[in-house]
Amino acid sequence: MTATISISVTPLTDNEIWFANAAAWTNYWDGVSGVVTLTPVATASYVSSPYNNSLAPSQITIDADVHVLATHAQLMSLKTELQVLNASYANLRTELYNAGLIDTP
Amino acid sequence: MDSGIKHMEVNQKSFIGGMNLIDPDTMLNSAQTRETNEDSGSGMDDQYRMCINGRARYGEVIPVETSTQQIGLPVGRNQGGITIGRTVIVFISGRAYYQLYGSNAWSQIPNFLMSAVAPRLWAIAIPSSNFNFVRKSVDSLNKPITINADVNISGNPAGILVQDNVTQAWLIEFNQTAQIFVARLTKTYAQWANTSTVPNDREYVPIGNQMFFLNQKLYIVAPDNKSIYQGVTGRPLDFMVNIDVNGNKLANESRGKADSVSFNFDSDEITCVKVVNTPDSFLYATARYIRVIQLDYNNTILGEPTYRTTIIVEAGIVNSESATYILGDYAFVDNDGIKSFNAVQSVYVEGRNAVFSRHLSKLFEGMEQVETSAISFNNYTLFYCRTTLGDAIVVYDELRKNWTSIDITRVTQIKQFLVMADGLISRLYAICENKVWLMYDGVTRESCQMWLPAMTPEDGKSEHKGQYVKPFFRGGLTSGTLRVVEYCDEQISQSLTRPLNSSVMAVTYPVRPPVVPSNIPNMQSPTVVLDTGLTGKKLAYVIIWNTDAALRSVQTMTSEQDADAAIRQEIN
Repeated sequence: MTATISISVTPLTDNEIWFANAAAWTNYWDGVSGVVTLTPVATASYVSSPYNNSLAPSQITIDADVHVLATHAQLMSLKTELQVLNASYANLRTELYNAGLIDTP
Repeated sequence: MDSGIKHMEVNQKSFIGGMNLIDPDTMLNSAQTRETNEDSGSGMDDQYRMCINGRARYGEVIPVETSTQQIGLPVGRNQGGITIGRTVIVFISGRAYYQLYGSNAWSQIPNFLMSAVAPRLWAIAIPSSNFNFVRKSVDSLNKPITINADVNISGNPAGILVQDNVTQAWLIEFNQTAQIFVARLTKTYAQWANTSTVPNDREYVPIGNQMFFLNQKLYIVAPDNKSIYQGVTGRPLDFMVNIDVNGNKLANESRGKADSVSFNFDSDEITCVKVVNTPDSFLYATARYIRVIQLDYNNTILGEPTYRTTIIVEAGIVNSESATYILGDYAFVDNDGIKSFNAVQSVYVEGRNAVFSRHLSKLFEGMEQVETSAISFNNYTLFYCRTTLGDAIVVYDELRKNWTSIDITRVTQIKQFLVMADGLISRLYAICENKVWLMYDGVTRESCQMWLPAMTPEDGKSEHKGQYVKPFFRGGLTSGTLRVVEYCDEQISQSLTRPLNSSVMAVTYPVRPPVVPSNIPNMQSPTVVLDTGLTGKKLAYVIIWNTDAALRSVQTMTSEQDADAAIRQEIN
């Protein structure tokens, strides 16, 4: 992230002395106005990989009892979503670290 | 013993000559400069280049006291104030707060509420009315009005009238029974009545800003600053000058209000109005012209005087706080400096507009004056204005008739000075943008700088080098620091610091028993040896100290150097 600071001060005139004493220096800066412009850190957009809700679980009947089991496809879909989220989070921390906003990546 | 080396010793034994920034700094005490200083009454060898935060009226330089910021006031927009007797009233964000002398507490005046965003509030103390008779007009405006002397009407009370140029004016009164200040709104045109039975019935105060009181009449500058309203003579709160043959106001406000009998003398906005010391006269100033206006009682309208210009001066006044009376003259801050004129002499001879601040002209070069204030206090006149050193108070000694100091302190952005003085006490307040200060009232002293005249060798081919500077101090109860800065050909050559220790004077001679230790304060006066400075054509010294000791005199010694052997820093 970058910041630009613009301070409006009274222009000094050519003179032997600019600030005769400490009070003159303090008074010169008293009430000075300024503008701070912050430019945000450029980051990559997060593209999610959502869980596939259309995937159906498996069913197995043992002694007339129906048991519902998660399928391999469901687990893989969930794993993919988690991996994408984890990678994006790591990328975000890297970008914040490079911008100086956090102290560890 | 050195042979062939010429020494030059300069002793400045007095500082009553004041500042001189117009003449070359090597010629401050020459015969020529005495001609430019004909009003000061000073002798030779007593001028100086510049003094910061000091006073030299009695020949020795004394640092001024620090100023004390007033606490206990709310944070807000400071809009002005007024002093009445031993009371000071300050207006902040539309509210009024007062403090009695001897107390540190600030109390709010109940009910008082004006515009919180108006840049200024103007206040004036007015007496109670003394013309409490019915006024009736006759068939001609220029004929005297009819007065029913056998009918007493309700008069107007004394008080402090306050205007903000936006809302209806308020009147602050002192309730003697409860011993507190109270405030109420004044009445408008619609509320003015001719009943003679209701208290304050004949009261109508138009909205405006600056005010002044002359010949029992109150005047108010209109909100557009282009004209002046006038009240009834003898009734400060009654601006119903325009009445009919029965003594009633006109039914149509647009025809009968204060504007109908207002007056103006310029198309420019009025910057300052003030009573002057010429009979029946007041000052009417814009940014470019100052007029002295005289009341004409030979030509009246509705029984009130008309007005005519007696003199006109081609100078302006920055604002309502920038003109003050000094020993028969009026000093004021113009757009490009401080000037003065004499209203009395100018009435009978041609107008005189002296460049009052010629000895300070270098300070005002290229500076446009925008927000300035002036006041006379303890026989000094203080002008807060913009200088090449920054915003500062330039101080004129009315007794010595010279400029004595430039005060550069934490007190800045001054909108108005207020003086509380009744012969026994004397106080100066500064109303700043967001602080209120009691000036020169602290127990400590500001750091004082004395810029001495510069020195050059008599032989124009030679250069010289500083040997020592010996300032002599008197008195002083606190220890501090002395600094001597040497300038060689306009550049800093060296800066030396020494402790400045307070002590007591020695036991007076002859010493006889019983020997009593002295308790008379005195300050040690160190000799500052200048051994590492530059050699050059012109040497100048600045004495800086931060104690309460008075600088009595300064002894300086330099030695001439052969030009061929000189080591001088060139200015690139």
